[in-house]
Amino acid sequence: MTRRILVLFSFIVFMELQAWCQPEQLVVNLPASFKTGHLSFENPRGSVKVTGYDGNVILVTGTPRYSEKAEKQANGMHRIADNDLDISAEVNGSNVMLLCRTTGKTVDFDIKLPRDFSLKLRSLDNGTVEVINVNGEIEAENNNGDIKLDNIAGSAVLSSVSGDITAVFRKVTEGSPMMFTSFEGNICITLPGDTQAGLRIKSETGEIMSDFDIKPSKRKSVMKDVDNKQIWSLEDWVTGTVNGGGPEYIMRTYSGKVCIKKR
Amino acid sequence: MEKYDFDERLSQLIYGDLSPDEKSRIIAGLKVDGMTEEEIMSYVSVAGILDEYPVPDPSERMDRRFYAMLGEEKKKILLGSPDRYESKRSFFLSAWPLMKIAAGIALFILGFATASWINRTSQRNQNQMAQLSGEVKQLKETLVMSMMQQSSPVERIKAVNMISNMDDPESRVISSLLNVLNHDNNDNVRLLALEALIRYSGIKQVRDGLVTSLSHQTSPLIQMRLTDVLVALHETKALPEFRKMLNDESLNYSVRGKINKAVVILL
Amino acid sequence: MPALKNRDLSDNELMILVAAGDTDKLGILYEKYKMPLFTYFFRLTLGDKHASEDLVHTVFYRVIKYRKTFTGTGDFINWVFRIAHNTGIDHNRRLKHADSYRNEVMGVDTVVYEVPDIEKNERRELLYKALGEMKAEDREILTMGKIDCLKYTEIANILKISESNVKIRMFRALKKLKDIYNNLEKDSYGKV
Repeated sequence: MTRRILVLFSFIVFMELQAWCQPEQLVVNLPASFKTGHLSFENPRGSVKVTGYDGNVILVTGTPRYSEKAEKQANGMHRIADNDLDISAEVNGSNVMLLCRTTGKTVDFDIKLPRDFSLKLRSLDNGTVEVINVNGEIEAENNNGDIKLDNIAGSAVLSSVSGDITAVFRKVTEGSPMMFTSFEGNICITLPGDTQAGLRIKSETGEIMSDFDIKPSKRKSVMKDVDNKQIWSLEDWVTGTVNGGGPEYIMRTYSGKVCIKKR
Repeated sequence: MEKYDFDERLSQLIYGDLSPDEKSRIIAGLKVDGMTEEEIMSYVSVAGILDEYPVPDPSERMDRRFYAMLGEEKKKILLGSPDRYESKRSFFLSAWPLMKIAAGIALFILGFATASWINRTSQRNQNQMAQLSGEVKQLKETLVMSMMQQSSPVERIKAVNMISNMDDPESRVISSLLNVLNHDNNDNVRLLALEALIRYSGIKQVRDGLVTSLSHQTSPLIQMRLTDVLVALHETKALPEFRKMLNDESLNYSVRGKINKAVVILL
Repeated sequence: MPALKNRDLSDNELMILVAAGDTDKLGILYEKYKMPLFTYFFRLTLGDKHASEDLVHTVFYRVIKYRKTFTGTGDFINWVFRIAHNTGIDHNRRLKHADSYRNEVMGVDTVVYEVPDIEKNERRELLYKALGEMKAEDREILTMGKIDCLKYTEIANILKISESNVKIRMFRALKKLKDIYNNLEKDSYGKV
């Protein structure tokens, strides 16, 4: 008798499992006159992946990462299906702010949008931030995971605490400074071979590699005492220029390595 | 009305930035509509010929005349000749847009015009120079302050870089930097603000600001750098905050190590 | 005072500083815009190098004279080209007859081509003759279309018309040019 109930019970759980792993979708239509926009999104837990494509519609899909099984409690109780996922968008002209309520679950978001977009993205926990095929200014922060940028035309300001930062630029915005910082992770940036920029790099491990022809020079931060006397100079950044110099690209990691590659 | 009074496709073909594929598609489309290859090409070739007429370099004379004129104007400004366009003053004040910076500039130019007219002492030249550079500095600072408000982190980074190059920024600029250090929503911009502030560590406002800044930081990179700076400055006022941080279990391991050392040095 | 990193300043910011009295900053703007402006006038005057240099100088003279009217609300490029546009109109008004204008230009002051390609030269001669037969405003909009830093938005701003009007006018001007050019070509063949 108990066995039959157990089987029936598992069957019910199995059926409801399917429902809970359904991705949720949101569609944002942009006006025909749309040229370029700005999108911001913060995922409290989980990954964010943004891909640029040729079109006029933003498609947001949120997929919970784990099955119900992992969250089943010891006494065999399970939660009855409810709407864990709530994605909405606030659109203000060409500025789009995505908001989501995920009630503590890890949800991975996949966003497809027109290529010409500037982004402000964040993952607070347990995920990676990935941007592919986008033209614009990318601002991204990730507490625990990696940040990956691929085939970007524009500029980036990225920071991660324990993750690696990888960015591949097919084109960089002239005159725009960029900044990449990670505490424990590695930073690896790929730039077009004719990029003109100044570099400011620091890594405690000291491992900085590049196939660019960089003219380096060590730079000190001079600190002054109250009567304007120089008291200390903090040992410091490696600075250099590429192809004659230009806007400054800053790379800073504590325990990771830095590499700057030619495209 | 002629058949091809305005054709968007032709316009695109001639003036647009198209790939060879897109071009052939348009040409095919136009042919379907009855345009002959000859007609299409005559448009393209005429447009192309416009490019063929090379523009020569202007003579050196043009540059010389310009810079001579520039020099004359500069002299006129320094000697305080009354500006014929002062009557434009009221135009400024009424037609002004909402930006704070615009209002600042209007007031500034107003002040400048008035001051240059009033100032006729024998010290004229010297005062003018000092006033000129002082007011230009003011303007730069106002510009920078407005850039710091921008939502784009790249603009804020540019602003912080500009401040790093200033010789003697006013207290309002320093406050603005400290504000960025403590409240900017981007940790990268904060880190850059910290680097900029290091240069002005001789100013009391900065030292006090750096001490109180500890409690606002969660990024390990910023915490580490800030700790280094405070140790170098021998700021014992930072000790209570260091102790608080050590009591926090979530403190990053490497940061903890650094603060432990800092406490030892400062005691 | 260390030099402010000029590449950190936009055209608008530089002009605002000029308006405030920092005239040296105008030098930067001059170096940036002298060629686009010279090109604009060179084509507009059908190759009169001397006049073009004068006109560029006039533009910058007016930029300094009217510097305080630059409010920063629009882009500098639009403002300076609007001054150029007005300067061009004044120049045309001073030249009384369209015919004498054309002859004057195609005579002594015309730039001599270095390229020995006779066919190419003839094409260009015809082209400039055709351009000369057009109205100044048509010639102008065709010229603007060929200046790199001026896109449809800027041209629309400078001429104070809509972007779609810019496209239409440009296209119509080109069509007129093509028709005039083709007619001149036929005539010149006839003469051989």
